[in-house]
Amino acid sequence: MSHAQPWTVLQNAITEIFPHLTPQELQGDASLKELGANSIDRAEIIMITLSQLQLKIPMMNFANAKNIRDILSILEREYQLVHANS
Amino acid sequence: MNHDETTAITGMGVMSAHGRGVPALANALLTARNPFHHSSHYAILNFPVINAELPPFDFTQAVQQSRDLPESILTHAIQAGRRAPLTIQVALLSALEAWVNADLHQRRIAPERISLIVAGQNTTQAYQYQMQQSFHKDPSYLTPKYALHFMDTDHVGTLSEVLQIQGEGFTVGGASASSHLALQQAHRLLQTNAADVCLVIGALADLSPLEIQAFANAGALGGKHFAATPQLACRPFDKQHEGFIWGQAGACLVLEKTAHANKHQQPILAKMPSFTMRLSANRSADPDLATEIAVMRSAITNAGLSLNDIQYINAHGTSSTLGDCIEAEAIATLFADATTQPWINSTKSLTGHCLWSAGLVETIATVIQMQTDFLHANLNLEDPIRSDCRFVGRQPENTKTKIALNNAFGFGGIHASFILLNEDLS
Repeated sequence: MSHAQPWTVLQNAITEIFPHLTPQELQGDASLKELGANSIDRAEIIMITLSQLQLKIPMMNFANAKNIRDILSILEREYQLVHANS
Repeated sequence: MNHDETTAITGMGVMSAHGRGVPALANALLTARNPFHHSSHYAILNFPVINAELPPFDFTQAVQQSRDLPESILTHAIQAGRRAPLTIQVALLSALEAWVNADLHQRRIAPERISLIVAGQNTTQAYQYQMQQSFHKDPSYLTPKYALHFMDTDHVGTLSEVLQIQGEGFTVGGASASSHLALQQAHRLLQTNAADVCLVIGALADLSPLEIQAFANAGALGGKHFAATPQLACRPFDKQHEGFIWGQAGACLVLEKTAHANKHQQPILAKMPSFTMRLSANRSADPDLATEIAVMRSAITNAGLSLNDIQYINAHGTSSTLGDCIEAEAIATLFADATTQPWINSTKSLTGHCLWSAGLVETIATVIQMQTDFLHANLNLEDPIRSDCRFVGRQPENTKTKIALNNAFGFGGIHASFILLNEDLS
């Protein structure tokens, strides 16, 4: 994880929705669904993160993300692209 | 009337300007506590908004204070409601109170035999107004949960999930008569054996500046002459009344047939033998004398009662000039030949007009008064608009009530009345 910021923001978004989750539970291979998130919760976690990072990624791009690591890699790719150009 | 078949109330929950819980409301009614203040939430409006607002509360803490409920329900309620709009939080807290009050946490009732009806429409206006502000900043970041929260049926989904209710569930809109209509639909579900138990929720009407301004522009809102003295602005049936004063409240009643409650040895708080609803074929906000008389008369006769049986009317009484006058005239006309005049008070004088939940709050207020042998004061009733109506004054009356009538007359010609019987009667 080259950029710490997307990961920190994503973690914060998850714990905002699910305050009872411990850092140990937020591992890359855990899926949001398994952590108790329904479809709206998952969309909200992603939207909070996008908003905080000021990124614009269509929600469809996350459709195939199987776990936290997949979500993070989509976020990081865009984050690096935006910051490389800025 | 077969008393075993009568719809009965077995649980109550409420959250109002007087705080959380039925005892807080009971104390406010008994002491005629004045809840009216200037609101600090409508700075955008160029007039002082007077209302009876909920005291601030911490949702998670309030759920944790709910006694006797299993941990699984409390955890679920916190997760479902912690970030939900105010009206959903208040519905959850009222429902948890009523659920315990009716011992539904201990009784074994099949989830598909429990139904859920939510009274109200446009329940999240203030939340939507807030969302619009973030939307205008950048539409792409609009929270996805808005897709759930802008629908009134979010109440149905959330409450059914938390309480694991699996029978029928829907919302009923009827303007200020929403609660009456929802109670009537619950009564029908029970009477047609479509449910054994029905939860009826009165949604808190969370008005945005738009609705407040519209009510003001329509001349419906009170508080003009009493702008500097908010505690005097809500004055149902007083000659200086000038419009309704909005109150925030959410409420919940648990209904079941008397026989079902008896089978479970569940105490009955009151019975609801008769509901009537009529339209006056009128899209405006104007009251209609003939329909008000007709709906009250039907509620009384449908219960097998006569005018002389009605001891108390919990009036619609919003503090509106025309509305109060027409209702008082309807009561005076209907009861002109009765041997004794029923007492009349308006719970709205002590809670504000709670709109969608008004009928449920008033039902709870009526049950409290029946149980405690008093009729609450009409706050600010200094000079009554009629001398031939038996209004409770500014002090409570110590009197036993066995049979009461409750009215609700909403915008759009929606009229409803029902009868409440003290449980000891039958």
